[in-house]
Amino acid sequence: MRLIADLFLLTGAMFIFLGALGLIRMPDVYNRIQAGTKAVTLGAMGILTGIGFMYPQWWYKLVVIMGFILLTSPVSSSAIARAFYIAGVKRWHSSNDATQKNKNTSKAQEKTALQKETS
Amino acid sequence: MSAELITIEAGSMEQVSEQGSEQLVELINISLPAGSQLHINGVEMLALLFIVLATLMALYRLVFGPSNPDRIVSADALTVIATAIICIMAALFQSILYLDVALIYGVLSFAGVLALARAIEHGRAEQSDKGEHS
Repeated sequence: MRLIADLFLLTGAMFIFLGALGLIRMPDVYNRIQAGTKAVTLGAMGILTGIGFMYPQWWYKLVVIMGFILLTSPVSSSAIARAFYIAGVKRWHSSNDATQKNKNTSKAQEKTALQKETS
Repeated sequence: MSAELITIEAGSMEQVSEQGSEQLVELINISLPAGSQLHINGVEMLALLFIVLATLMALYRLVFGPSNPDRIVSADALTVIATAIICIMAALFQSILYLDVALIYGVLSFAGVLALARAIEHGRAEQSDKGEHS
């Protein structure tokens, strides 16, 4: 039982580590949302499962926390990505951004200019 | 698997393995209840090391992020990491009360992230940018 718990804990810690590594290495805000949400959520699931194997009498609260993380983490990251898209945060593009300029409205361009000033 | 066992008793600190982790032992020994023992083997120590490195990298992105959306994204990732860390603290301290703390922290961080996203979306971000991240 302790061996299974250690396996789940190590897997979860590895996924959290890789998620944070993607949070540093990714070139764009939207890519960082992907790395920082999915990998870290899976790592947290692994860690909570490992704690559930380590202390089997705590399973009900761990199931509540796991369900809450699984419900709220994609919702919050989706809300953040939608807010960034509406506020006009630029996407990373490898070659050029000719197609991106046509999609932005005038209000979004104003916000982009304001964010350039503040950042 | 149990080559490096560290035995910690509240009150009298006793350490079986000789290498590393004195600071972690001192950190844990603060608030252990009396009479409880704690065993950490090498795999769990490796997992804790990975989580510490992940937290440091996310904090690097939070502090030295090139723009404010990067900081918000790393704060969103740090809330999930902090919830997992509070659950690990519950396992280390052998107390089920910390799981309640983790649940309440998850609720409040979700509300905070949603409020922040809604504030950006409705265009109040440029007024309160300097106040939020100062």
